[in-house]
Amino acid sequence: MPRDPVRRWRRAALITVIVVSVAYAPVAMTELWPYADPGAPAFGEALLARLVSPSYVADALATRIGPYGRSLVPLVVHSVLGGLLMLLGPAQLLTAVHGRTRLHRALGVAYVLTVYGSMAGAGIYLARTAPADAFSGPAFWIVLATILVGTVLSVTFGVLAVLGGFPDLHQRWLLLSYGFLMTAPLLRLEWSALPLVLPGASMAEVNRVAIMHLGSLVAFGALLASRALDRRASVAGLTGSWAPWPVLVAAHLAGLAALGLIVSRSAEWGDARTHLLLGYLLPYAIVYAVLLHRSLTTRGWPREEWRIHLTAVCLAPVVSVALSVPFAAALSIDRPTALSAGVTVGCGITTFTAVLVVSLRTLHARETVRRASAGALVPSVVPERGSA
Amino acid sequence: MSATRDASRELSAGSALLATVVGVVALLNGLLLAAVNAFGVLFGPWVSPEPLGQGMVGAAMLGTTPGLFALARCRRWEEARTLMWPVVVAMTGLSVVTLLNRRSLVMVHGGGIVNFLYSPDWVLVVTALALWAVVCAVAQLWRPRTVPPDGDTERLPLPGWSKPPLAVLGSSWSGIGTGLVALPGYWGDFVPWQVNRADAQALGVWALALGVGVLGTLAEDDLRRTRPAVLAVPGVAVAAAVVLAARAEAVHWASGPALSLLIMLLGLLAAGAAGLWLGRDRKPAGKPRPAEVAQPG
Repeated sequence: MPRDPVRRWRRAALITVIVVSVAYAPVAMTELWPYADPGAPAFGEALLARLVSPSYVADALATRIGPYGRSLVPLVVHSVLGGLLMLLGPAQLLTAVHGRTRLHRALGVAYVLTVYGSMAGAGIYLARTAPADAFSGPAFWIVLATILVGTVLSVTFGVLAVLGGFPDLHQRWLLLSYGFLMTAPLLRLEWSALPLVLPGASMAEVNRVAIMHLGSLVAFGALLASRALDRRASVAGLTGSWAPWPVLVAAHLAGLAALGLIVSRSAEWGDARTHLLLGYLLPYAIVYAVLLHRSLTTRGWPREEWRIHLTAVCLAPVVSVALSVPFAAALSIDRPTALSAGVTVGCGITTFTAVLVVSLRTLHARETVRRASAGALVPSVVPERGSA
Repeated sequence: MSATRDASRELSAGSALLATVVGVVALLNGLLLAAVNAFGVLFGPWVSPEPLGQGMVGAAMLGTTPGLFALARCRRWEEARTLMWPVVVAMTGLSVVTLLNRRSLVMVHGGGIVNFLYSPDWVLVVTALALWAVVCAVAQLWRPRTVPPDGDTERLPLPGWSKPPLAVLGSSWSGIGTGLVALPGYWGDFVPWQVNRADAQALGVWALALGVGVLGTLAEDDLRRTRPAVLAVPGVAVAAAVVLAARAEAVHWASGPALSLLIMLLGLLAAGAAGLWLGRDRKPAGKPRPAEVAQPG
């Protein structure tokens, strides 16, 4: 084990991600078979029933027979390929960390094609399922659809980045995409662990609490991994900041106002209010505190990236409140559910946007350097007009 | 045939980056809109009576991507502006008509969930790109004129025979485009498939942008400076033809508008092919051949 405590933490985090992914792979691959053949083994469900209670699992699964039965083939494709991704993801992390470029490229093609295949299966299921028929209600449908779009787009941007010769951006997008994929095992972990603090709650109620912070946690994890892998103190061609103090102050004020609105409107959530609010605000506060600390204690390029992400996390509640309006109006969802749906996707959307802004920032810096050096390399020969 | 030209402006890193971003956005959205709607499944930011309208918007986006990526590699504003101004027209136009037709947006009107999620993204992306395009284009005009560092001021004018057909082609596209944007109710009837106001105005914006590009090429009168614009048009004709063929049953083929559309698309293909052929083996301005750099004056 490395002696440096920071390196030790990083090594521990990498090993944890690999263990969780590999352990979840067989669970994912077998999860849907019982819907096709009632006698088929399902490790995940059996384990969950032992950890919590058989009725906890059985009550939840009873509601899934109809919706899953209508899209069984796409869902089996989605879950089997999803399980494969839980093996390919760690392989890609390890080949990248150890510089095994050729193997990384070959497995990368398989990873990307598997993501598209798996997400196509999920897309067909979502298109065939009304939001109200999703597990624990329409908010979960919106979370799943947002994760699907986020995964497909981040993988696509990662491919474009590597084709364009931007390994740093490729790394960020692929880590974000894997973060979105990690929502699957993390959600299962939450289904197992949250009943300890929410005794007597059904799996649907636990699910509603878990999705309040799932997107924000995986996006934050991807950011920590991206920052840990980027050792550059500065980036050539980068001047000034795209998140200066006035922007940060405005983002904080807007975020604070939106948070106030969410807390005041959360009274509509009824008995579940405290659990849902804590499920949202506690992880949000931790993410915010880390981002604030890092943007105040770092310099140069790291500070710029932390600041952009700090702005994004401040604006997440604003996006949540704004999205709750069309969710309620056009999807015919009641106002409390529309608000919780907005909250569940806010942090994921703004972190995705922050990675987009960081990418544009890097591209702009590189374009500036490229143009400056191209101009400098060409001899300044000024011919007389008309002499060509 | 060759002549010299005045000093020019350097293309900013922001403008080049804008071209790359619009290129990626046009590629991904164009592919999605063209492919899904070509199969007869309505997909897009607003509700439509027929998928072909938004499919053709996608085809136009997809077709322009080679030109947009070429624009990102330009060194001087004058090489870029024949495509940069159409980009400004397309992005501002699309954002304005999207806002004008906000009641038809799926996120306001209601509709399929996939389209519902797509429509706010479309509004945000198109509006952001429109603002960025306007800022970049205006900022370019404030940059000082300089002689290119390589001293390359040679130009390659368009051949005389190409100018009348280009003028007709550019006027046709900008004319129908202006008509569709300004009076969609009247000019929408001249589109050979069923369109609503949002479809007609969005198609009008693209037609206007194509017209501005073709007329801009005529005004620039220099094949070395118009390569990005020339690269942008044949793809539009090919992508539009594929989408039209896939949704052939929705088109009123036995009508004047259908014939006119085909002729205008053939004109784009011919203009693009001729431009590429006439400009073949001609290096774009600002990228010196080693031999020329080695010979001062």
